[in-house]
Amino acid sequence: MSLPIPAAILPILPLLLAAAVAMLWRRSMKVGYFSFAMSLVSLALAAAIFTGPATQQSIGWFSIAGFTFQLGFYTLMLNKILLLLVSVVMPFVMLYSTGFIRTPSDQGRYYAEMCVFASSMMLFAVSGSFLTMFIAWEFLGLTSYLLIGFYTNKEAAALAARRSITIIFLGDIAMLAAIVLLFLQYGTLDFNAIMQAPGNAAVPLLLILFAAFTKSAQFPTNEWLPDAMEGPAPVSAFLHSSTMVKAGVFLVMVLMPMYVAAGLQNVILWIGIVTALLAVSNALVERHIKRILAYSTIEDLSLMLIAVGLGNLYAATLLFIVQAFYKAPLLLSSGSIMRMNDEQSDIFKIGNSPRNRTLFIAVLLASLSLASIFPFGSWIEKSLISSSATDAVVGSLLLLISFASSTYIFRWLFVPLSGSRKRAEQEYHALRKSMLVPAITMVLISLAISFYFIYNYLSTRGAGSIFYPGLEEGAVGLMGLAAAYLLFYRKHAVAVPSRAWLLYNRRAFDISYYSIARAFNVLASAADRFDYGLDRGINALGRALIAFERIPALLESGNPSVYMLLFAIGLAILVLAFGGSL
Amino acid sequence: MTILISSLLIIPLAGAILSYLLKERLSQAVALIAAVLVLAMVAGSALFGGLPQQIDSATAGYIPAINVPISFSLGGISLVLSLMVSIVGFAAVLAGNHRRSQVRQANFLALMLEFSALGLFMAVNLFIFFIFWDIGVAVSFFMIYALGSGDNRRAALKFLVYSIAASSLLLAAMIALYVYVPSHSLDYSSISAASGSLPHLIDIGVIAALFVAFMIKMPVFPFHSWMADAYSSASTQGSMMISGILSKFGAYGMLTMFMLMAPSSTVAQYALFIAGISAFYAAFVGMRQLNVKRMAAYTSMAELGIILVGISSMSSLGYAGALYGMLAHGISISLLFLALGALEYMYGDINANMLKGILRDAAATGYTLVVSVFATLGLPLTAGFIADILIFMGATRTFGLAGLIPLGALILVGAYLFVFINRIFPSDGRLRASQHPSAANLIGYGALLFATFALGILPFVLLNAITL
Repeated sequence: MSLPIPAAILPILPLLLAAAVAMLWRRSMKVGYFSFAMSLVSLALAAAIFTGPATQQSIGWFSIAGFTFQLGFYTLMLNKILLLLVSVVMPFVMLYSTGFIRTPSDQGRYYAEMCVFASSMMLFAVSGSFLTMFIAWEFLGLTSYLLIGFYTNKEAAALAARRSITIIFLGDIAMLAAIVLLFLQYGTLDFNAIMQAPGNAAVPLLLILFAAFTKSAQFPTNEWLPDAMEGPAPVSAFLHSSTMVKAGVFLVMVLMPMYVAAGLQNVILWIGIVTALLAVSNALVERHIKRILAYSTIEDLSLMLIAVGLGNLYAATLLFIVQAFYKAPLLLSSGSIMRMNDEQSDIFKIGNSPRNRTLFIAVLLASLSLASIFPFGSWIEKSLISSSATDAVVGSLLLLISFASSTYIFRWLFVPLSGSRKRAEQEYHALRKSMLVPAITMVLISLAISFYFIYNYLSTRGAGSIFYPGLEEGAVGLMGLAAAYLLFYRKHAVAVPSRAWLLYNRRAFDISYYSIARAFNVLASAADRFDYGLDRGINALGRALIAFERIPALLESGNPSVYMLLFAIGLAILVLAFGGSL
Repeated sequence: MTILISSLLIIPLAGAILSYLLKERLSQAVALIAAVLVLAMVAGSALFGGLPQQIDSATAGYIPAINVPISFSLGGISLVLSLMVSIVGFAAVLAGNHRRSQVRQANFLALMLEFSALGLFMAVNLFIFFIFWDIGVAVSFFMIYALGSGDNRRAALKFLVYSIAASSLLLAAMIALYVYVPSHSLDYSSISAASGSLPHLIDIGVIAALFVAFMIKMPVFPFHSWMADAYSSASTQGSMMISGILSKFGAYGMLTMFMLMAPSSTVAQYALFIAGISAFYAAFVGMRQLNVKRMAAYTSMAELGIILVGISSMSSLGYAGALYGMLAHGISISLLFLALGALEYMYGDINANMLKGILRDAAATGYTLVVSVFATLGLPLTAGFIADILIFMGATRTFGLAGLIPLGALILVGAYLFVFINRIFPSDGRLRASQHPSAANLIGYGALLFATFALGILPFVLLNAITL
């Protein structure tokens, strides 16, 4: 049996080449440029696929006992979008990395891991069967794990990596269980074949939903994503805001017809709303420059799920695309800001952020895009989501979330600004151009995309259905801006206690994760003690058997007088017993 | 006797004897050549044998009085397991023994274990199976007793006592089968043909005796007390071979027993229950181990529990999964022990709290550890994934959702292995490693990693031709 290479995975090949090169020339500073070049090649191939026809390919892998394991590769609309998204974001991240990762000994493993990650992400994007998807899915977890723990001298990074992989591994196992169930139920793992087949698959669908929630950091497995910010900034920008964390959402979007059929849409909707509320409240009080953005990413992912839950796949897809182009620059710029300020991460201690005009313009535009301010970035998507919320409670919660997200992102922007004069105690470090160009370019792309979508939407469907939601969203966005200005700009800067307990719910998660771990540890130490006891018991049994063996040894002491005595006793017994008959 | 099977048996045997007689350096070369030859022959027949159920078979008279021929067969199950043996054997011989005075003995014992395993997996007669089983026990005993370190003598004796118990049960079952099988033959085919017509009590008794004997050897809770001591006090080579190959004697025996004797579904349910308990138990105990070799030992036990889940499903999916699981487990666990042995050599310690900064000071071993941990947990594109998905498909098909419960043990194993890596990876600023791993070690990593990925990416080479 041979394995023909489907066209859909062609963009992966240059990246695998780059990974191999990076592993071979581990200490060369040139591997970064090579990876960047390969990511451009891969982008060209992905663009060709994007403009090409939609294909569905299925390749038999192996078969056993009547089950054929087939690797499916799709280039349907959603697949193309994710594939192009990954391959567009990647060159920017790679370019940024050549400026950001400067330690020679880090080069090889950084670029190798990044390229393997991007390959698995692209494989995930074009997967047409659960089998292909699962292969990519687990490699996403593995590479994310390695990249979060990239700084090997930081204990916190190792801890964060372990926390994330533990959560993600839970999801992997859930996914494996779901795949087993689906395969047995439908006899195939092909997405379309399963979606068209009749039958209720609520259990595997719930397992998949759980797995998607672990990957996309949704309640109750949401807290690993802020921890993941221990990784390098380009990793956070690439994996943990714009691509890998979207894998879960993407899967739910692909399987949306099944969730609708199984009546699980409300589960998705309400988990999304709960997670978004938790995330924005944390983001309002967090002080770590990247963690705020991580909470914001959780909120973005929740919004996509909310859109799916409301049945608005169009809005979900738009947000899916645009979010990458404002969130990734924000994270890249955070890395730059930290680099400028001696790796200081507390927004209340950062001073030098406006010193670089390009950087400042990029973060300003990206912040406007994140807040739902007309006509930037997320305004159209958030308006569309609001427009499909028929329930008044859901609608008002959505507005609350929008208001909060506008507030926290301008807090994120204003707090370092207002401290720039008096608190600029850090030495200013100039930035390399390669660290500035990607962010500003991506923000401009995000503006272009959102203007295009607004124009496209208005010219095809008219303003009718989104006029009021759009007005409301724009208004709460501006209100958030105003609130942030009043509370955090200039002299007011520390008006809100930063660890207000109601908002800062992270501790509750830490405690509950910790309690679960502790409960398992108690069970484990009980098992360990039992095991030790079992071992001792068996040793004691052995000793008892040896002692039993000593009884004859007592008699056979080698002392002739004892032998004589025993002989006499034996003879006496014989005589007494049989003497009569003789 | 035909060429392929006889050379698969004669080469390791002759290599073992030669490498014991020759001087250290020559001995290492001879042992390596023998291991490579065996690997080449087995891999060659897997790739080019066209994979019928039987590539080669050999029969000769042995003890005509009690109807025992020497009979072997290579193909299907025995080919998969022989492949595992030859890969693990190659890596273990390559890893060698860094104590110069023990090189000759180590090579002798490693090749003898390979010989016994090949004989056992190719045997098609329970009597021959038993002979090779006991050779394997004796060889492993000496591996622990003579080449181990720490409390190795006690561990070796304990291992021997347990193994003798297993052997006696096996012998008893064998005698019962010999008496009650109508043709008075211990050929697998005769046992299989007679399995339905045995008297009920004999049937139950034989199944119980065999089940316990194989439980001891795998090991499965509650007969595992010999394992952690034996694995942790054997030499690196010893723990690679005992955990990778010898544990499969039990698993393979279990698989063969289920296939030949076709026990009732009640027995299968008990087996699933025992397997699940064993996997969870091992995962929980493994969580608390600071001695990393003991931790790996319990990890191995948890995985064997999952393999038993596949066997207990009594479906061809589960059997195939269990078989592939044995292959995957042999490779991944010997990789784990190889890497841990390298760490012990480099750091002079085996306590997880003393190993620090692996990624800085021992990067190759560190990355190998990460991949072997993920391979153990069934990362797709490694052999473990194929095994896991087949095992759980089989178990779910037979037992419903209950068959998925043992996946929970895998989560626990994952959780503590990640904690373990988390503990040893970051550097605490002190340089603790005092040695570099040998080139042979690095080649061993490469070979085992290659094997686990090759078998995970190209499973059809072995699976498409196997009918279970």
